[in-house]
Amino acid sequence: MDSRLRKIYVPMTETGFYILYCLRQEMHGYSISTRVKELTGGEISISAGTMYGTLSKMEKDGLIRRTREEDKRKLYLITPTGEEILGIELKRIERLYRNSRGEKYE
Amino acid sequence: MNKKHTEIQTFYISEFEQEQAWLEHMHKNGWRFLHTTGFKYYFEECPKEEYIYQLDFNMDGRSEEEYIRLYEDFGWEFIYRFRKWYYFRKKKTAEDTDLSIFSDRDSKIEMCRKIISHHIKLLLAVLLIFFILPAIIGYITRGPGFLKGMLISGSIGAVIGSTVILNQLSRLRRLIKSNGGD
Repeated sequence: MDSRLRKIYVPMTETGFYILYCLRQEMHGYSISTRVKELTGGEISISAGTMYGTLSKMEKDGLIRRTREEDKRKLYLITPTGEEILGIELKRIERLYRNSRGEKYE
Repeated sequence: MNKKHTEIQTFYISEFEQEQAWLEHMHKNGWRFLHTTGFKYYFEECPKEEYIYQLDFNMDGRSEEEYIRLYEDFGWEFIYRFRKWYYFRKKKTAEDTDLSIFSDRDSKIEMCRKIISHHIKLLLAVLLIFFILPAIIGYITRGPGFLKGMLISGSIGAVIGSTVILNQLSRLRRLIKSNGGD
């Protein structure tokens, strides 16, 4: 993978992580925001500008792609590059989690 | 027909937060924002209510419809576009906690960066028009006095123009820093 992408996206912001995580399923901006609220029990709420900015940036960097349009709403899906970055990020979070519980990560 | 009202106001590019606050204040006093020419603001009379106003700097002109649609999905009403600035508003309610278009620092910083990079291009254009162009013309024509005059006035224009823009850029840098960016 492009080392530039790795530098930008690892570690990821919380917003970035949830958006990429949700896009393993095809979704549009607002449905991502609703899904993230559900997943986090309302802890994380992603606003319109943050959503639009993150989606545009991730699309430009090839982490996600536009699939189709539905009623003037763009639908997105993760790309293989995005999957790869998400994988690295999931491992990193797993390590953080185990370490935070006093366990060793190997 | 609602009563109309205009106000003259100047906000620099680094003062979008002040502009938002001013538009909210106007709405609270019964004046709903309609559009602007950059220094002249047009309002119409409305009930005195609390609204949140947000400005977004969007350079992605290709898909404006989809861009606005996304904001509408989040409950924002699109009001007006002035150059690359998009004006949105939303009524303040007890249930809705989504009161800003940016929910994290990074995306707000990203917007400031977009403003900066756009205005650096503008700065280069100012320099080109006011300074370099008269210099080239002066050189080619090896011109008499009036071209020298043009060159001098051009240089003054370039200095003033770039000072204003550079000052704005440094304010934006400070805004980025105050939001934890570097």
